[in-house]
Amino acid sequence: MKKNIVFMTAVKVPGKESRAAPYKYGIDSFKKWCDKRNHRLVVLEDPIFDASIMKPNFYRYFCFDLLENQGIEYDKILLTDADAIIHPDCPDFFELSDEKLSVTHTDGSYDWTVRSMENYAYELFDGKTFDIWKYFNAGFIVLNKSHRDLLKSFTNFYLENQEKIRFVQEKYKTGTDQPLINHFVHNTFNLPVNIMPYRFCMADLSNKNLLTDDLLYTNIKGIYQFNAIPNNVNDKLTYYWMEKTYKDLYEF
Amino acid sequence: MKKLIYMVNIDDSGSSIKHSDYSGYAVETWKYWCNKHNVELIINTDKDNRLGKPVWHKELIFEYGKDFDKIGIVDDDTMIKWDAPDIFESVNTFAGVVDTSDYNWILNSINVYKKFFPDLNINVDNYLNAGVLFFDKKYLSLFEEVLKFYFKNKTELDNWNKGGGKEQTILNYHIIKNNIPIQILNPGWNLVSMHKKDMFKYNWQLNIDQIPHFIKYGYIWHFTGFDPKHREDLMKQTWHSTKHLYK
Repeated sequence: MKKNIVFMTAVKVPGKESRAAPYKYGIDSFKKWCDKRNHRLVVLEDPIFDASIMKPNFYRYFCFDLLENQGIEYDKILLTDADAIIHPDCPDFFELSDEKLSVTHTDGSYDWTVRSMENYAYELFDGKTFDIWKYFNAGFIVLNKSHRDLLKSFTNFYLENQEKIRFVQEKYKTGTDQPLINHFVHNTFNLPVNIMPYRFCMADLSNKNLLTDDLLYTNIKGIYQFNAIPNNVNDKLTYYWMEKTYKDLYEF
Repeated sequence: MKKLIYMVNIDDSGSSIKHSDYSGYAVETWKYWCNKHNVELIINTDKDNRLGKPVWHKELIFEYGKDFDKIGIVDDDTMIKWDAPDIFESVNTFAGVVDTSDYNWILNSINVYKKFFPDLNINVDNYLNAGVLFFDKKYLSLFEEVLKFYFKNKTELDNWNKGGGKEQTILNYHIIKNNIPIQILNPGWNLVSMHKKDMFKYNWQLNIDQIPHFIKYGYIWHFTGFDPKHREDLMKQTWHSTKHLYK
């Protein structure tokens, strides 16, 4: 029976175990949210490429093949990360998303976002940019079968241009998959997108003045992304906030 | 179609920052843009003694706007880019930009003003920044209603000391109360807290040009969300680096 799928990447990268330590909280929160709504959580924990070829950030774009290879039937799919916690009463974004690609705008540091778009445009897309107000966070992408060609073309593009892509990643440090998938959606495929509210990908909590000890952000029932935390040495603060948030929302 | 941009430009006697120190830069840009798009510009500089803070003069739009089909209200700390398109062509209902800059402030503001609206709940997904709004004339009555609300609660609102701003959240409550359909514009139409979003920087890696991000990609630059003592300088610098493009 077809279900909506939350497809989560939670691959542990050797040498970066501390980053993966709090994934258990993200996974469990989504599991509970999905169970309550009869959706299915699929967690990708094992590498599908050697790290020298592809970073785990790109694995999600193989979701159609990975699901079908496991015999999993699907309707809509959310691509997300394991360093996020979903509020148990977060509205059902599958119901709110239409047939278009549904995403949230990246509204954090525009210095990073603009450079991310412009640098990749300059190096890989003949300088062609796109509407910056459509730049979306790759940590929240709702798609469906009609986007199979997009992802196939995208992963092929990566494999055919991987050396250049890795060069750009290292030279500018303005993102990995996110700027590329944005260029693919807005330039290469020129797809219409459904921009959903910030609550569905609450990145940059600190800059939004939400990362407070009383967990102010949980007043907004959404998906909390524990990134861009100041002074986050060895991802210790990511663990701290994810554990604290999970316990507050799910272990009361 | 008759179009109007309405701006309140009145000094606040209770503030050390004078609007007139910086509003001239805002006015120059709006004059140019309005002339280009056949939009009338009304700048209200007349203090109405019935009203406390100048911000409440924004509600008078329900009188100033009655002969127009589409109306915009903009704060006097906003500058519009010389080549911004005619936003009125795409506005059908009540349009604005969702405020996402400081949720601590927003949630607190919603909370402190809830005492006036105990049965209403604001969804932050639709909480609009009131500094830049565009709407059809059928929504003018909303502002008359807010003004009546102000008069009814004048003493309390004029002496308000609980934070949460002045009229923005009250306006948002009235939007909910009247079930007004919101049209959400992209953030480029009201760039607030530009410093927090690193918009004063440019792409220093490619270094092809040194145009700050807000000028390159924004349509309306809203010089707010930071210490207001910096406002005049920032608006002045912006004007002097772009004024040749408003000709």
